[in-house]
Amino acid sequence: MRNGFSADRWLALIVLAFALLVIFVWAPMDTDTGIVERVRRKFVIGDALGPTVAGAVIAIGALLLLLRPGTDRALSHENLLWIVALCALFAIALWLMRYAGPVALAWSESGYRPLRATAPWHYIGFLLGGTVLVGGLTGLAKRKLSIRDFAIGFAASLVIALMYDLPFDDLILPPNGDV
Amino acid sequence: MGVWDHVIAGVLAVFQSDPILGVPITVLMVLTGFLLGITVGATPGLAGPMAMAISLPILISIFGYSNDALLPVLGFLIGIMKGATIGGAVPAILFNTPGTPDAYMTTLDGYPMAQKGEARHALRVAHFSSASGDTFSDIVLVLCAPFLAILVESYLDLPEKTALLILSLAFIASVIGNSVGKGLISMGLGLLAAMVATGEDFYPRLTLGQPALAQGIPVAAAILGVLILGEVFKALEDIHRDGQSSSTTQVGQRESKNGPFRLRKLLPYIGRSAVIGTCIGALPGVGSTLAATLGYTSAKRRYSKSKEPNAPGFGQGAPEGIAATEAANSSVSGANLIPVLSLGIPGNAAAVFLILAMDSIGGFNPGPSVFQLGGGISDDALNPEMVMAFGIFTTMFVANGLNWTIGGVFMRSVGVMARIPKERLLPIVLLLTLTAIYVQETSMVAVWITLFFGFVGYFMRRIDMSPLPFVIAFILGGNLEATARQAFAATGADPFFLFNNPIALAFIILAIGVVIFSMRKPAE
Amino acid sequence: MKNTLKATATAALLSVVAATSSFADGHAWAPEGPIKMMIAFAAGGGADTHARLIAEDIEASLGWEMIPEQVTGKGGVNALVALKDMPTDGSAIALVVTESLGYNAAAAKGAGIAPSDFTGLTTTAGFQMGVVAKADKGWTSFDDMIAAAKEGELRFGTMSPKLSDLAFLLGEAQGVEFNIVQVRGGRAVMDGVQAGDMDLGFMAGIQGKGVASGDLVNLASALSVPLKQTPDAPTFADLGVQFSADGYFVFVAPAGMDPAARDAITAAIAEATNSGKAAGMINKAFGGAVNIQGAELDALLQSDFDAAGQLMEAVQ
Repeated sequence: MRNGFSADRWLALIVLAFALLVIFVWAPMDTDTGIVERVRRKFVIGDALGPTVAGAVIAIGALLLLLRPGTDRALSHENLLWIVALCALFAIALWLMRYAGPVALAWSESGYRPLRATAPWHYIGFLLGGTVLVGGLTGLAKRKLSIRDFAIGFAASLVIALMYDLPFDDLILPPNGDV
Repeated sequence: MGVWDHVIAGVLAVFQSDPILGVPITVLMVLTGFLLGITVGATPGLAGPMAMAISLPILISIFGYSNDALLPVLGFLIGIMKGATIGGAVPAILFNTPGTPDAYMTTLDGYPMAQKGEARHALRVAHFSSASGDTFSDIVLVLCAPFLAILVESYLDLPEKTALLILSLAFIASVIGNSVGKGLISMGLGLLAAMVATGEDFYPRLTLGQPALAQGIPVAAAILGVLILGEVFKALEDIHRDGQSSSTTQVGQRESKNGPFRLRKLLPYIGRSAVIGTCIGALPGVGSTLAATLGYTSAKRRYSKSKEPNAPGFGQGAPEGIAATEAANSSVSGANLIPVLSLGIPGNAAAVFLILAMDSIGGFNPGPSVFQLGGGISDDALNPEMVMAFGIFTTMFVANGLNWTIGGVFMRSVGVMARIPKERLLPIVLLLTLTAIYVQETSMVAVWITLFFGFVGYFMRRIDMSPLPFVIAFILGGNLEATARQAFAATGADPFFLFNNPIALAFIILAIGVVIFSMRKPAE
Repeated sequence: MKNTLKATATAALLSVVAATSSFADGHAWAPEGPIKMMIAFAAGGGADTHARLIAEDIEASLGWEMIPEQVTGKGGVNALVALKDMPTDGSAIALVVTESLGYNAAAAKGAGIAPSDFTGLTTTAGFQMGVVAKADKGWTSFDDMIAAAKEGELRFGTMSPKLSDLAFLLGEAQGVEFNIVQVRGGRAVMDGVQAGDMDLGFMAGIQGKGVASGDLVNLASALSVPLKQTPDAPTFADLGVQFSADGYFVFVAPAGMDPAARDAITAAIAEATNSGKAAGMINKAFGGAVNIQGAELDALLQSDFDAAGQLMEAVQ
């Protein structure tokens, strides 16, 4: 309850502003045909109608919420901190997943790309990134990093890697479709 | 070719699929899925849809995109769907922890029974009720879906089909969750996400100039992100806040003598709940949790009038309470395929993944055209889609038979799953999900998009907004827009095509009515 | 036209023989790693199936690793945009239709693609594009349909902007107006016609079985030549439309591709379309393989692209 306004009312106002932005700025500017178009001497529905309708549905929802605010659950500072922590962890883990292989093989003559389908090189990124992701996430939840959790993370990544890679030769593990 | 030829061909398609170790592959897949489903259902923190989502890419890699792939893959998913429901009762009874949300009501009487040393009896009641509800629901599905589809196809033209989609979406947004406003916001966001880069024009709309979005938002990324990652983020934060995940409560007495299994007393409760669950399941958007709640409360009312004086009351270990809950939540799984097969509209998360599977494999487009006799090809050839539909029905009955025969035995052996700590399990689920997305999309961008939608799902859960309207609107958005475009073009650019024929107009009035009516329900 | 097709088919077969024999010598080009095969069509349809069968056949006969992948949307433009900047070493190819590089590339100005951005490998099959209606409409000829269209507006199902333009021009040439309903994919036109949501529509071979059994009728050929199945149906030229829906499935690679890679992959695909599982499927669904390749294919793609502007102007 801030300024006599419930969390749901704030949510409704923010969402309403977003909906108006969609209807009046995003949809008209980021589509090439209008609400309706004249094509082959007849009117057809253009590409802007769908997004406008979606925006209108959001706006109606926001108005109804404004009229009848509900359970009033607001995001807390803890929630936002949690999100920041998750984002940081994902950034590190996915960076490792994407670049660990190429960095490890930077010294070699060929580089990583020709080896992207060759064991064991093509597991480097996935195993490292997966270990950090699983171990780090368990640690975040328990508020304590432990070697054991990273070991479990490594084991899980290895099992997942083998599960996809051994039986199916046309499946590509991360990050080997990007390099 | 008549209906019966299709039925027979559908049954044969299941039982004459390539055998592995002498068992037809489709039957084998239903069995595997069913056992996996029970295990997953018995694991608190995991649910059927999660297992369906993660298995799908693996299944597609095994079976490929051919027509032969459809039945084994769908059979497996249907097995999971059915198994998870009965599996959810196991930890509810043994440890007072529902394995799936719809088993919450089972804890009310199941755990007290287990404390009294009647755990085996409670599990038997749960299994029997669950299997009965399931069978009843499947029979209703087989009788209703083709009929409804034919009705739709013969009476509804393009404008009416557009109006029907609008009605379904309005209904879903209104009935899910506590607030119509939030339901509509969730749905609008889903529609908006469905619009990204999907226009008819060559310009990729709403992509903000990002080439990575030019192919649209990958369907699996949005759905798995919102439904699975959102849940994982939230559950892990709960553990982070509350300390260690609550250790499971052991049942006081380990002795498990067989209580008297009085079928005649249970049957009326099972019957009522099966009907309730089936009706709820047939409506898009109303899930098995509500079915379980309704089944339980209606049984409670009846029970208080008719119970014997010395029998335990509801909440104190009455087998009738378990029966009412389990029959209701299990009878949702068959009926929720009625809107899927006859209209192409998914009603709950499990149906979402079935549609996703049909979409990814191709060759089967759920919707009214499935049940056209003559199959769109000719009078003397089978309609492959209709054969497939009866094949799907057959896999449901196979799962049913497994449920009756080995379900009860297996379910007693998965109690141990409840002891896996969530904080270890959920990060692995996350990695599995991201890997599953990557093997489908082969791009790190898709992984980031999935994480983005994971945060969307997390925020929705934190502000008490159901993510299900988002997911359903995301799936139906393209369909709705395409149908509207076609209706507009077909009527010679009539701007009032939704209003100038009686059926379409009735659907639209109903859609508005359902929203207004739901507004009147008291906000909590 | 038929003779050219025959000649190209023979040429294709010869080049296959040449290619296979050079493999035996051990000097042949082979990919360094897996080949990514982008498919511009939804999974499960005829286009997708034939591409995947070709990939399987190549894996089986040459041992190359092929990775089929769906890149759908915008009539093949999405796949072409994705392909454009891929490596030119033969590790990335795409299956589109000639219309993707012709009309669609010309219409999608923002995408910035033209035939010169790509190396054509080979076509695999052509479309038997007909104007089709359900037999129980009672129309036995194109004129019957036009007579009905004069009574009340008919709904004409199409599956691409180019075909919508053609439907419009057909109406104009015949003095009637169609309500043109554009849907996604040939299957959707078929379903729409069957369900009665549309009165007639373009079908590119999917109508074969239905026409054979008498459920569907080919009213006209949208090609510059008569349909194989219904040779008596008039062509678009006969009906006063100077454009046609002639088109093929075609494999392309990024521009500037290593010629050795181009020849080897072209030969591999052409062989797959004429033998093995892919050939069987192509015969059944598209009436046989058509392998236009090399300079002839380059010329075809360029002329389609150039002709697109005239068609777009004609419907203004």
